[in-house]
Amino acid sequence: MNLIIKDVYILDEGLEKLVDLFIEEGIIVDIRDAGQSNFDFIEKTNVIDGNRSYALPGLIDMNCEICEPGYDYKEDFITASKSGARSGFTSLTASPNSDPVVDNKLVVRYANIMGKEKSCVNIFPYGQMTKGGLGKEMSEIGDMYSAGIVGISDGNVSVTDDFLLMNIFSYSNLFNIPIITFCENKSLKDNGVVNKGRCSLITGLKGITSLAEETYVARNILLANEHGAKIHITKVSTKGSVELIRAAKANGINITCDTCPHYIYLTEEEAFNYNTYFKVNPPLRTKADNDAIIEGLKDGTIDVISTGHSPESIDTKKREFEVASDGVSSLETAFNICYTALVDSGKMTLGELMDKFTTNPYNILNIKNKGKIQKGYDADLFLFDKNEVVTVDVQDFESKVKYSMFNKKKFQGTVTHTVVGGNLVYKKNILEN
Amino acid sequence: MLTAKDFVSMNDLSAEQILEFLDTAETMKTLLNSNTKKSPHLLGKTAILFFTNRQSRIKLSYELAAQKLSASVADLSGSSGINQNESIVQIGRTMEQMGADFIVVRHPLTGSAKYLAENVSARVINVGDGNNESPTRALLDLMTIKTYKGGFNNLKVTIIGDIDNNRLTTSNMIALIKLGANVTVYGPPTLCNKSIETLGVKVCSTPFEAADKADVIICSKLSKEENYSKVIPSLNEYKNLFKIDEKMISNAAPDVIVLHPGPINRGIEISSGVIDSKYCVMDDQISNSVASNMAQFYLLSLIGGRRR
Repeated sequence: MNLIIKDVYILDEGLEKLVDLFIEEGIIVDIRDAGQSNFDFIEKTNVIDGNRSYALPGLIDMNCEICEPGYDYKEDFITASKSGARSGFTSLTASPNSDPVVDNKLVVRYANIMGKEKSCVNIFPYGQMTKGGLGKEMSEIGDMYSAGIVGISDGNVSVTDDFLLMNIFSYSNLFNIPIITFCENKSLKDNGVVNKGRCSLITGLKGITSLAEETYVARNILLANEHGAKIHITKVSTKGSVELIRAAKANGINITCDTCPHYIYLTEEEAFNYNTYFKVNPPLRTKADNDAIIEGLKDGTIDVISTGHSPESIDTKKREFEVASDGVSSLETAFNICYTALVDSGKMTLGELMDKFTTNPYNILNIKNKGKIQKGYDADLFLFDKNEVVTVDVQDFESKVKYSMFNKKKFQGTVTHTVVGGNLVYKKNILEN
Repeated sequence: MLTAKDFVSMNDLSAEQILEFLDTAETMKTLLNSNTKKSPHLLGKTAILFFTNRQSRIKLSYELAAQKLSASVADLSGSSGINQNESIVQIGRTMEQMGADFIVVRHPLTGSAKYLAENVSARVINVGDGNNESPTRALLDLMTIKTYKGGFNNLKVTIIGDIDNNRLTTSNMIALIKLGANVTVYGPPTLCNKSIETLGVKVCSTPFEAADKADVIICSKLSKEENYSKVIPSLNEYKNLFKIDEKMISNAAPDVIVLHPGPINRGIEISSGVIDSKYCVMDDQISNSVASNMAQFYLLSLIGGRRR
């Protein structure tokens, strides 16, 4: 199917340009200045009128739990992908912690095949770095690489065995894939549930020190340095982590990292009244941490913004704070929040924000031909109307997880259309598969 | 000429001394192929085989070698491994008191052969000390290479497999470099520490780079004693990435030879096609062993000796 998207602004080296986009066979084949082409003789169904909104390259999420196979009562390929499409994501990585765990080539093939069959966006599976995700033995990384993983991940459970992790770093050098590590020192976390500091003091809940994250960030940096491994730290939440990674980058270590929207936008104060929707892992930190993260995003220390989408059922979420789950439903709000918090507020340009959601993650994962609106690139894109103000309503969520830290909050801008591989998969109010 | 009374490490030998071992072994081979098959060189001497594990093939070849040279052989082997109450030197001195001229030792503790050699006046032959070296076994590989290739200068020798935990490979690398060969190695990064480049070998990152125009390919076996569960994913993946197979051979020199110390992990370290091909010279390696051991006994008998 051929598709024309007319009258849209694209970002061309930081400058806005009003153009018409011509898509054939899923590829952007031409970009012409707007107003030069005559569309009268083309069937209306094949033309999308952009109405001078932005056409932005499709986003990719580097930390997303799809939960299928095994936990599809929480989320599955269909709902996760629709949920992503609704907010501009055209590619999702799939966390390996499904059941069975993605720790061998068979499950990778399953994720690839079912991802294509059921999902309306591209699915890129990660492989679990240890067998069964148990952190005891190395999984068949080479076999999974041949089967098509884009990275290996610990599935947001840190490997505590330092010797094993060092060997995984060393072994992975055979393949050009990043090692996605979540940093949480369970021993220092000490069963904590909120940020250690004012929040733990006021609520009486057990606190999680920043060191729980930072000690493992430091460990992973040292191990990666020894073996020249390509590592990526996911869900950075503290000032100390940002500083460690900044110093590591300055020392030439091959390290990248991501953070999530709630670590940019929210602080520990949200949990003062025991609202479990704000119970996330790592916990919401302080204003100083938020500022350090924004600074890190601006100076390039933090390369990527991921959603940290981590579905858990409402029954596990609406519990006493201490036993409530860490579930987050953030696919559908991530881009809006970041646009509002970073671009609309003037802290970053739209181009810089797009790098965090597209160029950088695609580069890190070594995925070609995506992440730019350019001739020859895949037609993965979305239209964004920056002038409309939207109110988050969880009942509208496509995700199975219908709760959010941002329910009823207002954000600037809305996604009106999402196109994956030249096919319109989302139009505001009507979602197609 | 040899100078040390013991044969413990390839590090102790010069290139000339290694070649002396190889040449003498060739002479012994001639003796073995003659009608008499026996010589009186070690008449009256005693060799004690001190193996802490059951290495029947190697023990057999030393037993035969000593007998061919008319020495008497005694066996103090067991499967006990490390003795908690008695050091290797205490055991060695006992053997010496009982008249040992040669102690052929295999021991699970790294460095134990050297420790023994320094503390007894009997001649110590190291058949493998822990993770350190197996210089006697390396002589067999060298002998086989010399038979097929004539010499070692500028020969490209590629060693593939577990490089870090293989004492035979360590001895081979040290000797081959001394003899002027170009040695490249390839294996899982977790079993092929870059620091071995300080020995003068080249660590390759792909099998094709490693095998490219190789004259000799040596399989460095996975160790039975080592626990690999945290170091490599599985034998299944190992075979996919590190097996010596026809594809690798096709990249090597046309007259390449493939060495494997045996016993084989068929289809995992080396493919059936290669094992059964003309390239694989495993049989020569085995037939050389008695002659090589005789050479060690003979050359060491010329120097040193028992304290009286």
